[in-house]
Amino acid sequence: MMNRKALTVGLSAMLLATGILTGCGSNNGGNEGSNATGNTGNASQSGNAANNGNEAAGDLYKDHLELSIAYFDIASAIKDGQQDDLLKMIQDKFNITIKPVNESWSDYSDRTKLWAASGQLPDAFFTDATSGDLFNQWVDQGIIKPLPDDMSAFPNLKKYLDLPDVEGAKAADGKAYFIPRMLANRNELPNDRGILIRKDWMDELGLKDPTTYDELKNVLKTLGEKKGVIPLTSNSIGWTHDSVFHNIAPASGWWQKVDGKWIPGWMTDAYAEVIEKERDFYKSGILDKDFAVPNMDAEGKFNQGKAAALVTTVKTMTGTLNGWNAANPGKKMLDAVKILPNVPAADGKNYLYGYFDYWSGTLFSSEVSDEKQERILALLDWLASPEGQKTVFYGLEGVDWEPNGDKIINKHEGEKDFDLAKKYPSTAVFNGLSIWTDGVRYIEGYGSSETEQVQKYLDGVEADALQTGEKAPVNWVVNAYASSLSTGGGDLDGLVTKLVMGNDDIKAALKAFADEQMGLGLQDAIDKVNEKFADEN
Amino acid sequence: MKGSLLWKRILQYKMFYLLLLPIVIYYLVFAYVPMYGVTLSFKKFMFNKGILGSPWVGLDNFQYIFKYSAFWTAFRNTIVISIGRLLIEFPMAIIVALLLNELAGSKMKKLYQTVFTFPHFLSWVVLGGILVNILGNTGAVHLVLSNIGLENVSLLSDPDTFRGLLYTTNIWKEAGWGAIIYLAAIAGISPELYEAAYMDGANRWKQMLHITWPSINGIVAMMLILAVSGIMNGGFDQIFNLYSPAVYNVADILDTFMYRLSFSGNVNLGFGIITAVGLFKSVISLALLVMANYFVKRMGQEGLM
Repeated sequence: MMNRKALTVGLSAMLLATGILTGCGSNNGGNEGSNATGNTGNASQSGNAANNGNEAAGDLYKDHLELSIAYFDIASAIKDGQQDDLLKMIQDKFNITIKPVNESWSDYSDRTKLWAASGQLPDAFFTDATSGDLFNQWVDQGIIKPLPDDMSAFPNLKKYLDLPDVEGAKAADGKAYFIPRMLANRNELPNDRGILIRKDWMDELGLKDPTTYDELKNVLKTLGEKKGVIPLTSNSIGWTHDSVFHNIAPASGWWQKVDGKWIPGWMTDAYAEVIEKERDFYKSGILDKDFAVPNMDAEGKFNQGKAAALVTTVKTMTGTLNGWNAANPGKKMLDAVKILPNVPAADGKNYLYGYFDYWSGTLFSSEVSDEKQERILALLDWLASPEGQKTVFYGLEGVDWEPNGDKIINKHEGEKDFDLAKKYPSTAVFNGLSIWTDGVRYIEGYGSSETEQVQKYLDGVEADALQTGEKAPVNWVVNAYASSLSTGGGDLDGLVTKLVMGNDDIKAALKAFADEQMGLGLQDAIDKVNEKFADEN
Repeated sequence: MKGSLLWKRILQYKMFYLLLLPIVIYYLVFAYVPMYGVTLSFKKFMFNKGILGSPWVGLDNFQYIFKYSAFWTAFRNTIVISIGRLLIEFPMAIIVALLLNELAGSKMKKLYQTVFTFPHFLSWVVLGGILVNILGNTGAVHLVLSNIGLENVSLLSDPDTFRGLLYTTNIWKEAGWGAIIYLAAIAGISPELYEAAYMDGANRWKQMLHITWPSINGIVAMMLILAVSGIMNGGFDQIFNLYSPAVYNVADILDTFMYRLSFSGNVNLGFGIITAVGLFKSVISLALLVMANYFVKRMGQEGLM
């Protein structure tokens, strides 16, 4: 379950990044550089690209290196003959040529496994297998190379590697094998899960924000009936737990200590209660009947006014704007849609959605030389630095932005059609290659564009949630370790879907599933976690 | 003595053997050589050691899958869906061929044949998308049903209707194509037979029963053997593009099970265990093929072996 959850975390992080980008303005300048992927090392610099970065080159990066890197759609972001001053600047700065190894969101997992099986892993590659069976096999079998013991040369990465949940994810040999792709340097991500709802329809029908599940049911039912639409659409049952019913079982996705014993969250009673509620929503026609149909376009249904509410990663609202505007010309999303506040827990509190500090990581092939690994780490370190973050999200200093204290002044602000990824295609890779985000907003205030306004709304909701909400009741260190263990390999999401749509006894079915998993490895995992963390809480 | 005779014959027909050679090479390279991969089902796959170097684990992988309940669900579904296909889908192609044969005008015959054959050329990836759009709860079927006041049904995620949907859509897609081989057999029947029957007063039905059917039943028997040998293939493309966790219980077959657990999704059992499932499947397929061949021979038809 974790992986699919995680995948969408990553996707949403990417969308978020794109959202930030589309807020910038447009300009066709900065084409002084020659062939962007020219592999002439730091010998060829021209135009403004040179301003940004070659001072560090010198002796440090004396030998020119060719580095193969696997990342999503990297082959279209970095290719010969494509004008890209930002790529040129980076390649010159580190005296490297990046050899793109392509993969896509739908096949990265297959490809990585096949590369690993056939000894063709690129020097550095993306993976979300930063723990668990596959990762452990790679470590045991010497497929991947650990990070250097001393990471002090890479301070921007080291500070993340030292975080407790990253420390806790070290392999059994005590070494770190991946650079964590950071989401936010805190374990609370309130805008990662939520419900978008048609507030214009709620106002029209005089409906108020619900504070209990009965009220929520009533609001959704009324919207569905009066508007003749699907009350609540969703294409992930896992997302539905965390969005709609999060406060019933705020840590159901994580290991918890129950009666002095660590067990996976799905073995708790609260989890069964969530499924019960989901079944109720499904059977009473509130939850979209097609929630389990593969590739069902829930967002499309919501944008097109076929559904009144959508279970989603609400922070990707900026990325949804295009779809919304295409389906609703002339109607601003912020005028019609809002994030529905969570129904509070029985104790009246709102528990924040929690996740590890990172989702996915960069791993290194065991074949890669120390020199190459260090060069890649230097690149990743720079990308994670404030300078790197400003560059990947706003472009080149002096060309696209001017410094303003710690922040920047975006020269493209107000240019409606500006797209950084068009000007510098490689930003589509660099803005997620090292980390998703360092959590810092580098521009003062918000622009007037719709994207910026939506971002402002999102930031406001998030700040408010962080201030008023309770921390997720999750022990991240225990969970970092637990997620590295094999727990039987059963398909929990499949089971939950079946239970929601069927009439089987939920507790009995979960018990039968648990019994089966126990025999397939879960028992060992439980024993190990309890042995190691008997005193933790 | 015998050996030299064989060589003499081979030499005599060397051109025929030369013609055969590419096919032999094809099977050697693409079917027999890769078979060493099945040894993985008795090994724990190690990425750094490859297929040949990975350590042997005896029957561990098989023990694991036999304990894994989803495997048995997939096994049962494979058999049930395949038998369903054999009973429901297999005769459809024959019926379509016989019906087409009875059509009077040759233009109409061609038109219908084209219309029936066409869907075969669409891939299940495309059809999967189309079916989701038609049958989903914002699709055409839902609109019609809800406008005449019937309850919203979601055929794609309802375990009671899913298998029926599989058969129906596959018949629509493949029956026309499958009929071609029977139509070819029917075309080879001498018209004199029909003329003689007509003279004897046999009507269209009797002609079909006593001339057309006996003339094609050899082909039917052969197709049946082939179909039985494929019984462990429940139709991966179709099911993979239409199913969802909601219907795993009735729709997950061994092929989708293997694919899902080795590549996609959130559960990953490792190549050794998945190869064990594959080998298990192949052994059963082989046994079924031999059995079908035996029974067909017993029934007086020519077998394949």
